[in-house]
Amino acid sequence: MNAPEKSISWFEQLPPPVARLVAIAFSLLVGGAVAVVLHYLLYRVGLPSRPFIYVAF
Amino acid sequence: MIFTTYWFLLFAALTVAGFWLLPRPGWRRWWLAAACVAFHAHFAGPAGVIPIVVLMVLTYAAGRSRRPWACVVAMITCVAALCFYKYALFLIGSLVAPLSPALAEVLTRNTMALMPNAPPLAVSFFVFEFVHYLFEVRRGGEPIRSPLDFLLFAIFFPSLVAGPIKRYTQFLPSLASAVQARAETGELAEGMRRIGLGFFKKVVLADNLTLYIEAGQPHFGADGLGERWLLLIAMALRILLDFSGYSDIAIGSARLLGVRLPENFNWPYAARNLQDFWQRWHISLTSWIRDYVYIPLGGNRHGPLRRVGNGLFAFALCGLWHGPAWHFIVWGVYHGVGLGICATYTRVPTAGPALARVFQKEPLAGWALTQLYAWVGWLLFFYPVSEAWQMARQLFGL
Amino acid sequence: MKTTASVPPTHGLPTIFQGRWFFVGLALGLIFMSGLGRRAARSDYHPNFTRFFPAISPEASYYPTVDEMCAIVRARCRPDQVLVIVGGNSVLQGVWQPADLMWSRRLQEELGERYCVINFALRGATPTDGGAVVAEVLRREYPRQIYIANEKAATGLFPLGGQTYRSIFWEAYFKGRLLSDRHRNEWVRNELTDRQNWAMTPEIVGSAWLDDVLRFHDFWNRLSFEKFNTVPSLFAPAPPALFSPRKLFTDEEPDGTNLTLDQRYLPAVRETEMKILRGTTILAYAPVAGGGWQMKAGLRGQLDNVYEQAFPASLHRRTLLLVGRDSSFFRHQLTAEELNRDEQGIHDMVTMLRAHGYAAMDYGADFTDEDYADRTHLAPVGGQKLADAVAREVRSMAEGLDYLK
Repeated sequence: MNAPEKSISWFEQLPPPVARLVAIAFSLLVGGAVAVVLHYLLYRVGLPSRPFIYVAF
Repeated sequence: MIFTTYWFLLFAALTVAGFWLLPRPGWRRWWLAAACVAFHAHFAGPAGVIPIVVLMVLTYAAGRSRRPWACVVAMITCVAALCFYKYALFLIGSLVAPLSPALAEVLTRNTMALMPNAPPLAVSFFVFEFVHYLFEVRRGGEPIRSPLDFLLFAIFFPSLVAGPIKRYTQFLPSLASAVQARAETGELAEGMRRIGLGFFKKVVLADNLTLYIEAGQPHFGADGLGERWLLLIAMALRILLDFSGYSDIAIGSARLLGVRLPENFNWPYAARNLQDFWQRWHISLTSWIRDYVYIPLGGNRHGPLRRVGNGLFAFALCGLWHGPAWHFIVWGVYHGVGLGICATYTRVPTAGPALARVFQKEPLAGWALTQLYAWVGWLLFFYPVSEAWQMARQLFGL
Repeated sequence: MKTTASVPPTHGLPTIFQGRWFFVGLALGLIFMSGLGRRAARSDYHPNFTRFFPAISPEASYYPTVDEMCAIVRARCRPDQVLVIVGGNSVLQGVWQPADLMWSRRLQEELGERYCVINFALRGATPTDGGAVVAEVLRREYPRQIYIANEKAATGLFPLGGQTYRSIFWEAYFKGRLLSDRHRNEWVRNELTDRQNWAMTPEIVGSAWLDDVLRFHDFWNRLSFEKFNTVPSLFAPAPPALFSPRKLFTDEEPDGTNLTLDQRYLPAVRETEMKILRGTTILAYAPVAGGGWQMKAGLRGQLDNVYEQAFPASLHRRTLLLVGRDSSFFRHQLTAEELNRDEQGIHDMVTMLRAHGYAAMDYGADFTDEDYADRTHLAPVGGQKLADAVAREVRSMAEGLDYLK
């Protein structure tokens, strides 16, 4: 009985130099995205969780 | 909101850097232990540290003794501590006050005098981990010999605050592997990616949804039907993003140290039935409830009636674990009922099998019904029973 | 959500997620964002700025930064002008005065082109908040400056300001942009080492240090102001308003001019207002034999201390503090003794402030019921009167400080 064929992802079908470039680009992009999220996180962490409610007195 | 503080971000960076710079496994263990102690002391304060230290010592000693009675005593003590810190006032108010308000007042006053201002940090989580540990040791599992390893199991900072609830038989080998390993950029990157994802879900999405919900909920009844459903969707998304985001941050932080924590969420809003939902939602808690409440009660081994009863009790407890309030218990029972129906509806003559065929033919129908049930259930999770009931009726235009 | 483990490479191919390049991307991303933040702070992005009205203030979860406020000043004021920064609270922000009828606008008209008036008053602020910090930061760029704030009688001034706007102080302090003042440094030390603040201190210091490096506050503030907002508030809790850039939010301050008496002085709260009015001096003063009132000795000593330390000594002369009277509608309901006490409190505060080198003046003695829009805030016509009086004082200060040579 033949073993079922293992499906090959689109990434693995790329020629190695192209795959390497794609991997670098993807990784850079994800790194950059995480940087943006962290940068935004640092901004949001600094904001009070409850807004200031002004009451005239 | 411990993860969303500057202290935590700087602390985590320092801890991870120090961990990987240290060359020896022993040193890494001590470094990590010191960091976990500092983390706990900073966020728990002195009043919060003492209970966990006491329970830690007790649990460790009971485990090392390997005596079943010692494990049982320690388990009872841990559960009693949880009940005291988290549920005492609720139990007095719910069970004693209706019978004797004067006695309830005295008990409340005396209890509050003994209690700290807030329950010890993460009491629900570390008690569950201790009970798991003692249960396993009692039934023959190997106890943790090293006090340092036990300390790390007890107050491992990534998972201390909000889970995932660890199993010591998975955690310790992972820790042992981590302290021996070399830092790998792939692992670190995966940890950072996971943390980034977690913060995105929590800070960018969930926190904004929270404000939207808080602004919209007071005029829920006055809003149109569409707006009410939008608010419900927002609630459902918020809790998933908030909780899974926190889990992502915990799992990612652990991954930065080379430690693998169990997954806690697996696309729960893709579930096609309620059983599937509870295998995808807060996985570490539901598996704990299954292993240490449902199965010891008999599970599904004593017929459908007992199965449903065990399930109801287990889920009532699951609900109560989330908070000391009746609506949490009702929410748990609501899901217990749903699960009971899910497990037994096929036995209903004619209609049961017919319905099963419909769900098989149209998976979307099962999915829609499951999500509708779960999402409407969130009203019970967030609001008192009467308010949740009114909101549910308003959702359906009643 | 469950992650899948990365597929191990087959026949020499890399995995799609490369750790090393991820960190390169992360580092480059942070450097880039930091650069954007520095760039964001360099220029003014409030082209129509009049004041920090509620929708662009901490009430709407918008916290202006020091650089943002400095840029507002630089875009409007030449270094050769006398910079007049209005700080203080809602009274000086011009509550009940629409933007075109703001008292500080009238002040600018009165003072003329040699002066440049910027209103940085913030609701609920103290005299050392917000505008005070910016004025000090700009002391070298704008050496000819006057800072104006207000406070009630028998009230202390604290170097670190109030909690709501303290982030502006911390930002300037930790970036080293304030004068080094021994007293204030001690206040900072006490604040940061106070056991009650053990949780907040790392947040304050950590936030300031990280923002100094990564400039996230400036960047995301500017983005939320100009392009799209991401922080919900009571003003914009849900989409689409939530995502609207804050520049589209308008100053909707109502006009207190044509309010009826009952609208100005709501009957339901008059009793409470009277309690507040009496409360200003009731605890601070004791009657003296033969009639009259005297400030309690202990309090006088404390107030002297804080007045001296509130601002660095070199800034006292250029600081004008206004001590206001509440509306005559309520003051006329005081007994003669209470009125005397109130007047004594105002007189004492002005005297004490002047003794510490500040310029100080009271206002409201000749104001009518219609000059006020409620117990404490001025209607446009009252604001004009205030502007006229303050303008005289500012001109006098400018001459005394040799600003006009």
